[in-house]
Amino acid sequence: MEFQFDNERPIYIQLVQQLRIAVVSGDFAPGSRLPSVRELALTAKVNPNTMQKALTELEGEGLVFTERTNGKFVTTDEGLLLRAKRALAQGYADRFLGEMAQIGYDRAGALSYLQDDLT
Amino acid sequence: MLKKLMKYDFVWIFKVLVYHTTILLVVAALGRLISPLAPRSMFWGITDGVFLSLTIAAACSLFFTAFMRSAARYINNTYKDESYLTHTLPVTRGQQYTSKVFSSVLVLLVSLVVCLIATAICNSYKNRWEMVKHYLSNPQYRTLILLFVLVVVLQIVCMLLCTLAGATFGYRKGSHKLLHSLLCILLIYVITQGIMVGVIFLISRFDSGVAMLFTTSTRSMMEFLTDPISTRICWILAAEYIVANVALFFLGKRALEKGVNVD
Amino acid sequence: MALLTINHLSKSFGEEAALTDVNLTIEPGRIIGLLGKNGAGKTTLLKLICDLLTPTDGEVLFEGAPIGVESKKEIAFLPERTYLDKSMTIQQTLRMFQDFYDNFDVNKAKKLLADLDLPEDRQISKLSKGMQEKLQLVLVMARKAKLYILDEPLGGVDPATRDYILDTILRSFDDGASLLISTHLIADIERILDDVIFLDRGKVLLTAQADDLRNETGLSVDDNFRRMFKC
Repeated sequence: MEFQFDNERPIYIQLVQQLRIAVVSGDFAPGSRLPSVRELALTAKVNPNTMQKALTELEGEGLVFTERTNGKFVTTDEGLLLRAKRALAQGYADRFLGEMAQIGYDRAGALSYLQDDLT
Repeated sequence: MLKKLMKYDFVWIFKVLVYHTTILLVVAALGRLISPLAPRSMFWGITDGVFLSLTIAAACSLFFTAFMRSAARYINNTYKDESYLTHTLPVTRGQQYTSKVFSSVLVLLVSLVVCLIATAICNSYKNRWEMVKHYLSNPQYRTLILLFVLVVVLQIVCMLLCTLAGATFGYRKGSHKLLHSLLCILLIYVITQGIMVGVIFLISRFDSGVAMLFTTSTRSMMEFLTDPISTRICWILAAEYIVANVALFFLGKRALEKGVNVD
Repeated sequence: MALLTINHLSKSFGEEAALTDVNLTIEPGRIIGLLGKNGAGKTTLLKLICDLLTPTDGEVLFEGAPIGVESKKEIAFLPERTYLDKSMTIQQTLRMFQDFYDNFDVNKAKKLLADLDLPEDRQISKLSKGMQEKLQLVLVMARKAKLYILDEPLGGVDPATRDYILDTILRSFDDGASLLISTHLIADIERILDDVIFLDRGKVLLTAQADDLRNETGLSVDDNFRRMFKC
């Protein structure tokens, strides 16, 4: 998986966001085993400490759990995954609507654009 | 750890000297081949003389280079770029200093052995060999010659220790480190020799035999060799040198242990 | 226990004060960036930690004890300059490191050498400066040390090798080991830093966790640096 960062925001926050997307989208399949912290850190080219911190945060959200000797796994809780997905979707939608409003499309106008005029 | 350090120090110092050693032995051997021909004609006589001079020159070159390599090893390893490795190795500064001193002395001893072999080769021609055997058979001469060689070796070691100690003091200065080193070396050497002469002078106040060192002059090498006082004087000198060398060793070691400031 | 403790460390060369009253702690398992302009005193600080300089005042403690033989076993230093005996071959240098360091992993070194295209039988004097620097990096990273100190590891290296070096650093970063990296190429390296130290004219201006700094200022470490050290 590809990670993108900008140096202006805390790295671990960006990691959390991108990992969350990967889990929610199924890049890391539900119930599958995640690569080790070290491997993930190498792939992302970040400090293992930072990666650990990000994963701990995801564990806090319930998207990831640790099985003591076997490593970290993605949750199988479909309900939780769906809720997380919808939360992300909401965020994207809010941003879209906000940006459309800036150019003069109100909510109805934006929706109708999507419905009819989207190429 | 000390042995490991010495291994690397010794190899570096001696690496180049392999050439000097080879040249010395080859020249000595060639000289030996030519010697029997010397009486035949002026040409061969001159050539024989030339080879003898070359042998002596090669021996001097060997010692000189050994000395310079030893000093170079110490300074490069302790104060130049290589010191970034030296001072980060898990050894104490005392061990570093000891290793340099011991391996330098070892190189000197090896050079000495090579010189003796070369001398033996040179003089292995029948006539000269007879003369050498004649001298060595006399126990008094034998002791004296050995003592004399010992004193010369100790003197060279003394110069070496003065060099290392002086360099350690000299490299403490902020600028012109090499110049300061040379001055310190000279100062330490002069003071050491001065003290040694002073001590033997003091002894001569109590020992009339030794007092002759300062009062009578030897008219020839033969007189020096046959005079029993000479043996006693050599023993005293050897003892003094040993004490002085030990003192110089600890002087330099303590100076280095105080710390370094590498550029 | 802190890995490295620096108390009231000062260093002067004659009249010139290179470091003044530096107080720092380095914990195990962190990657720390020592950042500052040229001449700020970064290399002086690193040399003091490695016993290449004697402090004018203050002390450096490694795991609670003054630096000495024990600390040197566990500290791996990569200086900016080339320090190897040029008359030796790479092979001989590996053997020397094996001789003196118990924690030198010679197999790892050989692998890194192969990755970087460095032939083992080549004499060091015959290597280009870039290759010598890579060799020195290999020698440091092949040791299982508790503290790695890298002085400008990325300077003068091509971007591909720079990635490789960062990769090697992250890979070699064993649990509990810390890395202290001094550099002024901040943008390239800031992503992997846990903590940063800003050094200016021999004094510590700032110590912070990198992400905290980003959070508080909304700027990258690089931008923070530029702001603080604007000419």
